[in-house]
Amino acid sequence: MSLLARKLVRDTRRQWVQFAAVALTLALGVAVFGAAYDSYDNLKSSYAHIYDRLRFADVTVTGGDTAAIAAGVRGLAGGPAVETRVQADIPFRVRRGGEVHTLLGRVVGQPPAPRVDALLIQRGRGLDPARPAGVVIERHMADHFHLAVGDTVEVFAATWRTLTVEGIAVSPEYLWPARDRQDLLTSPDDFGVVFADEGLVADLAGSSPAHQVVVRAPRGADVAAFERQVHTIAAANDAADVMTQAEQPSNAALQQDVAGFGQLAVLFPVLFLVAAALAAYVLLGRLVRTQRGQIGMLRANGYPRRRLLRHYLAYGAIAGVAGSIAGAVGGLGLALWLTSTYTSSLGIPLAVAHFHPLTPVIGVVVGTVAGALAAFGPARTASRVAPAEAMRGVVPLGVAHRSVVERVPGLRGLPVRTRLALRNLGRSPRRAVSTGAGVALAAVLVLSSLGMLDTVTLVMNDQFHHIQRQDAQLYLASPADANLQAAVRAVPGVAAEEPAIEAPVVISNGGRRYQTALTGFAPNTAMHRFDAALPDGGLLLGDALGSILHVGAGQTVDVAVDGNPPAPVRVAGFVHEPIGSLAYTTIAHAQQLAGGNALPSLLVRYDAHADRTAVRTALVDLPGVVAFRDVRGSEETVRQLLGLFYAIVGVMLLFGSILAVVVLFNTLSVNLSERTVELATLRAAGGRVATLARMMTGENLLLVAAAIPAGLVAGWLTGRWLMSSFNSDLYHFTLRLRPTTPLLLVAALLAIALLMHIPSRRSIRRLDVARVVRERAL
Amino acid sequence: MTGLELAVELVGVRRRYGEGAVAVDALRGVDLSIRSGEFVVLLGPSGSGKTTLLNIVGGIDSATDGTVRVAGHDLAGLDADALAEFRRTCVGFVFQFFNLIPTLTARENVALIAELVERSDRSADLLRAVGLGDRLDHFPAALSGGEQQRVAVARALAKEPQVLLCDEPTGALDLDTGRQVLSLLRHVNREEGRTVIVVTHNQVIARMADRVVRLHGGSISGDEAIIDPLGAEALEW
Repeated sequence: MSLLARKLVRDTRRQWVQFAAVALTLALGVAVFGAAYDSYDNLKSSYAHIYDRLRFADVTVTGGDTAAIAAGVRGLAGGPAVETRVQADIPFRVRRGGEVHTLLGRVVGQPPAPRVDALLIQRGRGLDPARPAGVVIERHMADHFHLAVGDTVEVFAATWRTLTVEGIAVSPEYLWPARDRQDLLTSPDDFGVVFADEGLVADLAGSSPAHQVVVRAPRGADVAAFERQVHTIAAANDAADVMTQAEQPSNAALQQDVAGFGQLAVLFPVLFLVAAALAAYVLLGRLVRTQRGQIGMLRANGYPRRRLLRHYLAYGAIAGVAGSIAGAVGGLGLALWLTSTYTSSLGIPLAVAHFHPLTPVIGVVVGTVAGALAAFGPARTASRVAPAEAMRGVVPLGVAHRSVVERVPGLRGLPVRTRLALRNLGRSPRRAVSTGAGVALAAVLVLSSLGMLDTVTLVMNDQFHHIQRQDAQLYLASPADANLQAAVRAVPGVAAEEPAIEAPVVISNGGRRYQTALTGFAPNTAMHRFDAALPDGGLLLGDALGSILHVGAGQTVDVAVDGNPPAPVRVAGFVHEPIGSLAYTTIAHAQQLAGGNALPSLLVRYDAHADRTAVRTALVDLPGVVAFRDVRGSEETVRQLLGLFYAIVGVMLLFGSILAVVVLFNTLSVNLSERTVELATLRAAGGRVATLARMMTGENLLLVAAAIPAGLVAGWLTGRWLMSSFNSDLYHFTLRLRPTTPLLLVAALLAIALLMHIPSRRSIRRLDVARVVRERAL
Repeated sequence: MTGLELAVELVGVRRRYGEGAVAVDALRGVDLSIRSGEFVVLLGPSGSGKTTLLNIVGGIDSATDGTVRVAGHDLAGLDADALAEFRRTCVGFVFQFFNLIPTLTARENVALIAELVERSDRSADLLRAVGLGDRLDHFPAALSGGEQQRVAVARALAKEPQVLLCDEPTGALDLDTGRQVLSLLRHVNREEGRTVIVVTHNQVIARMADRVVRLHGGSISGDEAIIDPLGAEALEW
């Protein structure tokens, strides 16, 4: 080992805590990168694998002449797989123990061996033509109601009919059990899917089945071009809706989640790597300053600049290599954990967890380069030291001056200790800026994470308490009459009720179409918050539809309900709602547009302290009530589904806090070591350890306080960007923060700076005053 | 102070650094008494133990063995806080390399010590007394070496210490500025009656002391009173 290499090792060992802190930050960055990127890739692979295995439809066409559409698609090049089917949303009744659960479920017709949208049977067996009354239950419903093979489910088709569960299966269409694009956050209490023989479904669906054609593109085909061809055929045969795989509700929801991982894979590692580079820069800058004499000696003895540059670059590279190798290994483990936690929490079978050798390699390279880059500035400084100047052993001081604060009239008489703290901020401007940037980055990480949590919490509160004001929705066999309304009102715990109707519709403007749900409310509804009055004869649309359909208020769109010809309707205005892009009108107008396809319901609000279970039991027992939807149950489901999101954000919060501690710890260490002589002199003069430690803590607090405003602004902007990246026709998130969140963040950062008082005090107490003041030994 | 009281009394003071084979005995049983108001020079070559002795008297180092009594305080057995309290009230240090805080002006460097020891701020008066009345608001970088050392003396005096301990106070200065600083120390000793102990390896400086204590190999090798000390301005080296 060369002597310089030995020096490098010994210097690193001497300041191992500081180097370890830099390496830890780099490790966190590389680990987050590896975990997020590999999870992203694993999840994409898992979905691709299961979609391929179960032949998930590339296009689903609803309505029109399905036989002609199927024939037309079959004639396309490559021989695409095509199936026709019938599906319908009808009331289900599930008996569990002594309880009866009523919900609005879906029956889907299925051949025994479908070429598209096959089922993965997990228990029991698949559909069997020999047992036409047997059905297969989608896994979420089976799990939620603890249904086993041999159990029964009742479905409402004029009367309640009992079906036997033959099997329990996973469907590519319901990996995320969403009823439709406007109802992605469906509670399993309110929605379940049953697969049955085509003939049975046609029988159960009665007069309002949805006829569909599901199509899978030939292997190797240009899917986008194929979709366009199917679209053309569907349009030519009066299809009501054409839905691509990307638009399919379950897939859209899952892909949006996966995309979130993709963003994390970029943003958070960058934050960590920059913070680590800043910490390394501060540490190595200090190292070079203390070694000016050595550097001068080496230069005086003819050591080439390049070798010195390489020598000091190696300090950063050492921290980079150590940190990034640890991070890469940690990232692999974290990725496996994230993938398995995510897939098992969503019940996704056939999870794929690959080892991606390139990810740790990229992590190590990027981490090492970040470390070396951080070292570049100090290393260049070292290589440019003039030998004669360096040999004097005196570090040239910048021009000392009074701080800005002291120039404020009235603040000139501050205690000298306070003035010292203020001036030390400007003593090493680069270090102060680097530390401030590190603190700001930690604030960005924490605030954007907290902002995401706050936004989701506040949005849920808005959606389920202020916009949707009902506690439950009763689906009815026929429109509500006065007797039923009176019976509902008479149920103990019911505060109010109001009729409403729903219908699936396709809204189009020129060539642009959008499938959504139309809800008709009482003109002065108390169950839904509208900023403007409901228009009689017009529509209020979710504001994303304005850009999707290229339509403005006052213009006309075509509204089609399956089976009815499109009707022109005026857009009266837009509503800003965080979840979904729905259409609203008055109950009378909705009835006129939907005709027999409208689903009548009663919206019910409970008393504040109602026994929800008792109210539900009483309501579903009323004659004419065929299904029940608990809005609070939906809210609870959403919160459960967000469990993983909370876990990930929790990890980010933890990492952000570690980042803040590391940055402050390194700055404090450098501050202390740089001022060893001053502190020892003050100790020799009788300065108390506590007093001197308070001075250092005061400086840290000032530095943190100065960095906080920038951190808050940057964190808010980052959070806004992150939330906006989730925006689509399904979600509309604008960053929202609880007033306490920034205050808590500020308090936490200041608390970390205060906590640094402990090591500061210990270091000052341990100062060898006699040696330092005599030898100026640092 | 009467001039008869003992400012410093050392009995059998030993100081050992390290243990076993690498142990170094910096002081090997030193007995020394210094009266209040004396100007004493501790003279000796490098490694003779003079700075160790000064540090033990100043309470920034501790004896391994023996009795150390300074300004009426028995330093043996005092813990770190008690030693800090002692330094706060009884002794002042002047170091070879000044050790001023670069971000504070001359006045502030002195005032900081007054603040730390909770004394009234006489920084301007002290700096005027050391001849720096026109340099009060200058930062250390704008002061010469001699001026910086005079600020350091003023800083040490801010606590009104009974004993002023100076470790090679002229070691980093040229002849002229060295003389100025020594003259100032003499003035503090004569006019204010403070005990001044100066550590140096420069034999010439010994000629301005009331008493010269020579150290060699960790022991006192000589102790002589100077009957007619020279003024600092008469020194040449």
